[in-house]
Parts: sequence; structure tokens; C-alpha cells
Amino acid sequence: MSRDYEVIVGLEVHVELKTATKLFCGCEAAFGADPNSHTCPVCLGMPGVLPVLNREAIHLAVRSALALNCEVRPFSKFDRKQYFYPDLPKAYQISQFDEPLAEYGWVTIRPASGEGRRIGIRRIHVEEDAGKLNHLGQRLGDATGSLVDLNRAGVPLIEIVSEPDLRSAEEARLYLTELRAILSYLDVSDLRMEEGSMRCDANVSLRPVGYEGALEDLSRVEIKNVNSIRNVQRGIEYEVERQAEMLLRGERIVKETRGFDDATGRTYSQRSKEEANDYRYFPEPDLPPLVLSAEWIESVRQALPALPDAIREALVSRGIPPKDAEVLVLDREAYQYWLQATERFEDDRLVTNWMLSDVARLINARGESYAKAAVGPDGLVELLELIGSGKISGRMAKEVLEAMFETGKRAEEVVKEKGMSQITDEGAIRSIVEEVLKQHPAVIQDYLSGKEKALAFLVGQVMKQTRGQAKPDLVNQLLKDVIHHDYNTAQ
Amino acid sequence: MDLSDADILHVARLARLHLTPDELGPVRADLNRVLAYVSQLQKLDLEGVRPTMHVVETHAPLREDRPEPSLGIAEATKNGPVVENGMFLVPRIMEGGASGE
Repeated sequence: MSRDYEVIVGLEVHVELKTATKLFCGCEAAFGADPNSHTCPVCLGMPGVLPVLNREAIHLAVRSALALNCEVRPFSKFDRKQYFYPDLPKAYQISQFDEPLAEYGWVTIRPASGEGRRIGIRRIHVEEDAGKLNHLGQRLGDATGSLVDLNRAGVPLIEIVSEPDLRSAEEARLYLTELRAILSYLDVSDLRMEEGSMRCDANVSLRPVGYEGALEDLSRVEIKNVNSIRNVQRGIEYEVERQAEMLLRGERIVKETRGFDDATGRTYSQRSKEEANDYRYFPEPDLPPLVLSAEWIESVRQALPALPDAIREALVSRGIPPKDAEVLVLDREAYQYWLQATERFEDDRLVTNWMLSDVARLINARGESYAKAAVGPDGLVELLELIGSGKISGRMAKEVLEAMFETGKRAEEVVKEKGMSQITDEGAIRSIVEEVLKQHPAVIQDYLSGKEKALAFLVGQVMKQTRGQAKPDLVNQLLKDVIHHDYNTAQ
Repeated sequence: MDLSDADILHVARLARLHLTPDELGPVRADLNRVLAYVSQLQKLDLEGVRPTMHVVETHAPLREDRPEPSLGIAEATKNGPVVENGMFLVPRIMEGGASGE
């Protein structure tokens, strides 16, 4: 076996749709309710009940498919996927097998080096989620039993299946980050990986250089249900290393499903895939085909919001550096904060700088998000206006912002309470400048002999005297004026 | 097409049916008869005919996304042989059992 190989990764992403009710019944779909309080004969799998499709679920699924550049099929159908597991009361999941809702899409990723690259999306289909198992015991292996909560059973999901186009763990991270950003602007899901409203399985295989067979025939390992983008990346990194070592030793890679252990960063074998998967799909007799008119699909397309690529372009055209634009685009809440702030304040760059440095730092330190920040866009704008009008300096504003976050008070209030105000009165500063110069004749000589640093020292002394409240550029100007006027008579 | 004993055991395992050695022969014979009967369909010329998705020529009705009352925990779990904290208690799940998503 050759030592050289190429990494082949395909991702399957499950996304819970943000509907009020489940896919096939009127039970609430909300997360976090008392176990089994959101259940009815349909989602409990009682005999004789009939599923009825949720219009909004189909709407959100089509919205997602169009934003991901897919072709939506005017005609798609539902199938039963059969397996026994306690989280699946009917012993089959209603899913879509050979005629899914949408196909042939793509997401563009932008690796740090090189051009953007399209990652194909093979298909997007609609299906119902399973219930939740709470294992009694440390882990599944030594659990004495499991408690079944069927609140999640029947919650609408879309599964987004990529082509095996990804060539590294880093590309997988970029794909997931971009996918999540796109879905967040669509507002189709909560996208909380830790709560399971977005879940990812990664298929990883290595293709030896010179291999000419089909990708399908390579032994592939599926890493199941990883709970963060970072861990998907770590899991793939580990798996690539593990498989490469096996190939070096001349061992055969077993086609299997593996879990990911967050603590060790390793994947571990869960079950052999070779015999387990036999789902015996057949058309769901209880659901006629789903027929969508071209006009309706078009109306959903027309209603799509601005998506990350368009937003990137708009930001850069407004003078935001691409790196900053990227940070704003990938966090929809940050972008909305930015939009609201720049609507009221004309200097886009200044808003961006304050957001990405001081506001971001305080939000992170306090475990907040842009949407729930103690200081919202209006608060930030009020602060920036105080700087603009010369009432406080930029340096003072940093302190004011911190106090605003801590107390929830407005900028003006904080400034008043702290007795802060920038001294802009030229007369007041001039007398302090004259005082400072009297005390430092040697430094003046240094400055006059060409040492620019000497001036900075003098500025520092004036600022100290005024407890940082003097307007720095004014201090600078006055120092130069007074030195040249009073101490430079020799020249 | 003829099903072997191995085919029968595989299908039985998927359906969680436990066949005794005595039952295997008769079940195989029955299933083969069923398949032979159905295989008459293979004789039809279906060139250009779209597969039937559903026996009734209709399309799926869509329901508005409005919550309706659920059963309530007590009613929902009433059929469970063992219920704990409002949840169905099931025996230990064996690794290697069929599962999926």
C-alpha cells in the first residue's frame, strides 16, 4: 500500500427546523419540556393513526435548499426506514430515500490559502427526529437500562448530505461554519449543536495515490453525532492519523461507525457497519407524494434574505477590511448589531473597530452574546457620539464602556457620575502645560535637539496632571506652541 | 429466485423473529411461494412507465403549523410496562443492535 494518500471527507448534517409543531402532528416541537409532555398517538407510534405534513416544515426545508443552491424537486416522496431502537416508537422513521426534496447544491468555502472552492451538496431530505434516550449508568456499555423521552420524536429535520468533496479536517470546519452561517440568516433552526438541534456525522476515508476505483468502494469510517464544529475537526484529524497508520502497517481499514471522545480527542469503535445497515426502505403508504408548484418554489426563492456571500460583498464595499467583514458575517447577531449601530452612526469603520475589540472582549468575558449584550447598539452609538463631540477621549471611552456593561447605565450617566469630562478648554490646559514645562527644562532641550520621544513624555506628564481628561491632540499642539514660543528664542 | 436458509435467517433477524430449526424449512417454502406468485409482475412491459408512488392519485395535504393539545404525560405513558419519572424504562440496549438515523 502506498504511503501517499488523499483525505476524502463527506458530511451529513442534521438540522432541526424551527417550527411550532412536529412534522406529522400538532404536538409542540419546543426543546426542554417535561419528558413525554409533548406526545400524542401519532408521535407515540400508536396503530391506526395517520401522519399529516406540516406546511411550515416544508417551507423551511425548501428555503434552506434554495439558499444552498439546490434544485427543489416538484415531486418528492416519503419512505419508511426500518430499524429497531427504543427511541423510535414506530420501528421505522419516515424519511425520504430515492426521491428527496432537493438535490445538486453547493456551499463555497474559502481556505486561507487559495481561491474559494465549491463543495457539492448531494441532497437535502426531510425526515422526523427520533426520541431521546437517557441511559442509566455512566455510558451505554454499562447502562442497566434507559429512560425514553419521546418529546423529540417527530420533530422535523432536514438532512444535508455533502458530496465527498472535502479534503481535510480544516475544510470540513470551513464547510460547517459556512453552512451554519447560511442557515442562521435563513432563521430556519436554533442551530445549537450542544442541544442537538444541529448534528454532524463525518464520513472519512483515505484514497491512496494511484487508486482508480470508485470512492464508494473505499472503506469508510463514519464518526457519529459529534457535538461541536471543533470536535468534528478533531475527530477527522484523529481518524486520518489512525487510518494512515493502519495503511502503513498494511492493515485493512474496517468499514464501521465510530464515536468521538471529547476528553481524549480519539474516536472509538461503536459497531461494524457492514451488516448493521439494512433499512429496507419502502414508500410510506400513509403519505401521498409531496407536490410543489414552480410558482410557490419561486415565491420562497424571492423571499430569501441577504446571505453571507452578498453580505461580505456589501461590507467590503463599505470599506470594512475583509478580515473584519468575515468576523461580522459568520455571527449573524454581530452583523445585526453592526447594522443597527451603523444606521445611527455614520462612521462604519469606527463602529466595527469598537465592536470587534472592546465590545467583543466584554461580551466574551461576561458570557453574553451580541443579541443579549448588556450594551446594545444604541448604547454603543451614544458612547461613540460622546467621543465625536469631544466630551470624552477614546481612552476614557474604554473605561466608560466597561462601566456601562457592569451597571447597565447609559454612557452619559456614567460620564457624569465619574466626574469625567474631557478638558477641551484651551486656557485650562495651557496653564497646566506651562507648569509642566517649567519642571522639565532638560526634556525641552532634548526635544529641541530633535528627540521626538521627549514630547511624548511631556504629553504623558500633562495627561497625568489632568487625570487623563485632557484632549490628547490639544495637549500635543499646545506643548509644541508653548515650547516654540517661550523656549526657542535662541533660534 | 430462491431464498436460502441464510436469507431466511437474515430477514428473520431483521424482523426480530426467532425461528426454531423446525420452523425454518416451512417458512422458507412459504416465502418462496409468495415470491414466485409476485414475480408474475416481472412479465409486464414497463418501459416508460413511472413507478407508482402511491396507490391513490393524489398529493400530500399540508397542515398549518398550529399547536394542538398533547395527550399529557400520564395518558401518554399509560401503556408502558415500566415508567419512571414520566419516561418509559427499557432494558439495557445491547451494543451491535440495529440502529440508525
